[in-house]
Amino acid sequence: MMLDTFPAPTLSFGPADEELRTRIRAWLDDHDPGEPPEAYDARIQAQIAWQAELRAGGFVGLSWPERFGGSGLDPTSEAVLAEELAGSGMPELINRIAVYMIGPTLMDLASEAQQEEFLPGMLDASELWCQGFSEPDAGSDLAAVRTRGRIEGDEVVIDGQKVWTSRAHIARWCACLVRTEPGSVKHRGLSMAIVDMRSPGVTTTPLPQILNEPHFNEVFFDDVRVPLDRLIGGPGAGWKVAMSMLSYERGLFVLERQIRLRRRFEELADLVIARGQDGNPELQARMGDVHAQLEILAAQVYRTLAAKRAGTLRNGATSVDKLLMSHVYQDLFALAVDVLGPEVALGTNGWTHDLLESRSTGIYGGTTEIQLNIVARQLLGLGASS
Amino acid sequence: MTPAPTADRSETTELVRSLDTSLAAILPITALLEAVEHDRQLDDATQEALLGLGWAGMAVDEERGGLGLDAQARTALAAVAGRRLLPAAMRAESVLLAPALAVLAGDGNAEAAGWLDRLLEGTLRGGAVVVAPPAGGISDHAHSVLAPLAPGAELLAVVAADRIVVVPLAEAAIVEPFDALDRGQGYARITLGEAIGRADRTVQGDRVRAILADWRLAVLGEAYGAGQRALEQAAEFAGQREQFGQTIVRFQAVSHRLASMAVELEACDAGIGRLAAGFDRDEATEDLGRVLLHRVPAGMRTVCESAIQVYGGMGFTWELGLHLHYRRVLSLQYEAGGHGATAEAVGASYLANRKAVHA
Repeated sequence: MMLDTFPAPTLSFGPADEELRTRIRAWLDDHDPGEPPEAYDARIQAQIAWQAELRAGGFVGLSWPERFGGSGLDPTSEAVLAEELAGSGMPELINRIAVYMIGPTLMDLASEAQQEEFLPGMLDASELWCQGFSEPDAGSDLAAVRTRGRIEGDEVVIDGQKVWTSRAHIARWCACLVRTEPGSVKHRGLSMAIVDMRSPGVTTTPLPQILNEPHFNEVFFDDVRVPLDRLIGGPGAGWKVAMSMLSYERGLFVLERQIRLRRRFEELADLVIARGQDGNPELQARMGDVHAQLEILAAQVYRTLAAKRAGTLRNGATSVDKLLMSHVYQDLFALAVDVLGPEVALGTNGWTHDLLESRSTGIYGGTTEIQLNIVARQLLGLGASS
Repeated sequence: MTPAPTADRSETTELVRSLDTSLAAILPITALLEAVEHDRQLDDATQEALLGLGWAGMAVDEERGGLGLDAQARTALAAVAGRRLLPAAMRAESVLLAPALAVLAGDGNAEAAGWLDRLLEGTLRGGAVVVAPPAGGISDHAHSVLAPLAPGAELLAVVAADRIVVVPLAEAAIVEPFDALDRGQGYARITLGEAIGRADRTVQGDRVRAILADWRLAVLGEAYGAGQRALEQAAEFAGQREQFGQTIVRFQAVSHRLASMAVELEACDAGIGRLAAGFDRDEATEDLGRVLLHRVPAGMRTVCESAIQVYGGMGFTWELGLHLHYRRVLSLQYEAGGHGATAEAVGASYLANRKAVHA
């Protein structure tokens, strides 16, 4: 019961973390990449170069074991890096899903050969990754995956379609969830294949978002041949592998996001002050409410990171992070529309971009409704919902 | 007032469980409802049993006869108080009056030392009122306030932003009954006289800030506890109540409402945990405290409202008693300054700080 652990333990940084923070700050002072290019493609190339530079500086893979090319530091070190990158407005890691989700999953569940082949290219972003999970009929219901993986000798032949696949158009590898056991249903009979996106039969079609940027894609697989030894954890382990990847997803991501949101909130406050609106009680109350949400989100993510470090993270707990994050994300930019008016509602500036982007936060990585299902089932222990 | 941190969290857990069980037995909902129904305070036997728990010494050092608990433990116990609807006056005695008397006693005030000893023994009762928290307070006009008072109270701690004055009620105040729906909480209307500023009965400076920070934790913990109990009951009910041939928890409309309540509790838990940890590490907690004083009572109010909704018609009945948790949270919200005022205070403070950055 929640009473036993109340009030929740929080994360605290030790002397080694603070020493690392100082080192990162000094390095960032000397390596500021400047304003990102406006054009999408140029921005992506700049982000790839940025991760490679960070890697050369020794700051990517801080918590990865040394034998996999990491620094072997405590997981808190990653929180320090995320805070410093976001706090100074530096770009995030473009290969974030590889470094923080797929990589750690390979360390847990993949063969030694797979680890040797795929881990090194993740850290310096020389090989970008995407996740082939969602399908037209398997969005929230991920276990309804229909993309087939036909095992033929020492190969898996993949046919089907993925959708909303972020950065598939620039990825070299795809962690692709496929159904390898004919006739199987739900989470049984699935496998996680590592697909070379340059293979014959892979077609990637950009699916422009409401931001009018080609961030995510439809990916079609037409008799794509993948060596059998590229199934992570072997045939049938797909669901376990997928859940492992998703369990690694949150924590750092939300930490980083909340700091970037905090910076945007500061910018909004500065605009309110510049316009002489800071004495308006109604606006003060709305600003107060969003500020409170940001503080609560920070506390929640520190709690999650503390629990991860202590090995006491409860199933379903990170759904709370996701829900709080999407709530404040949407509230902050809704407030910006109300404060800034037509500039945001009708314009095409950064606020407009972030307002539109905020709508995605209740959808990606499990919709708000799915997160509530998870909280109900896993945190509260309630039965399945209909 | 810097108690040693509790060495082992399991000690706190054990204490929390034991007090939760004791309070459930001493103060069942039926007893509270009866007190309310008959428009009276809790009976003597119940008061006696409550005093036996030693609540008044929660925030007082062991060398002064208190329990010497750290902030985390005190906050956890405050949650138990909220779950089990401990009379509000006992919070006032333990986190405001007793610590103020301990400070005065530490300064060599023999009168205060005597009062403190009697308070910890349970032979002197009192109350406290915060007249000017950061966002205002319960106050009809300058010196007439609503405050939780224990039966037969002799002393009142009047807390302002920069000072705490201990006032013997017989000397300096007129106490009138307040016709609250929930008499079990013991609220009274108090009109303060002129003689409330005696220097030898006044705590000032940083020591006031420390006591107020502690009060804040108690208010937050108590609100959390009330909300947590409301969710616990609602979730249990939803798992048993059948409609349309199945338990109502199987309907997403219900399970999502319960999940949203849980998310709010988790969020407040995380915030309070960070505040309590900062308090134990002697970090500046003023800003986070102000934020939580807004968010936690507001969030728990929503949780209690949702719990009533989950229960449907039963939630609206007197006998269920959910309204007691709801009203406890409402009283805490107003003690904290009121919803609109606390949100404004958070926003105004944030904007002022931002302005200062650019100045």
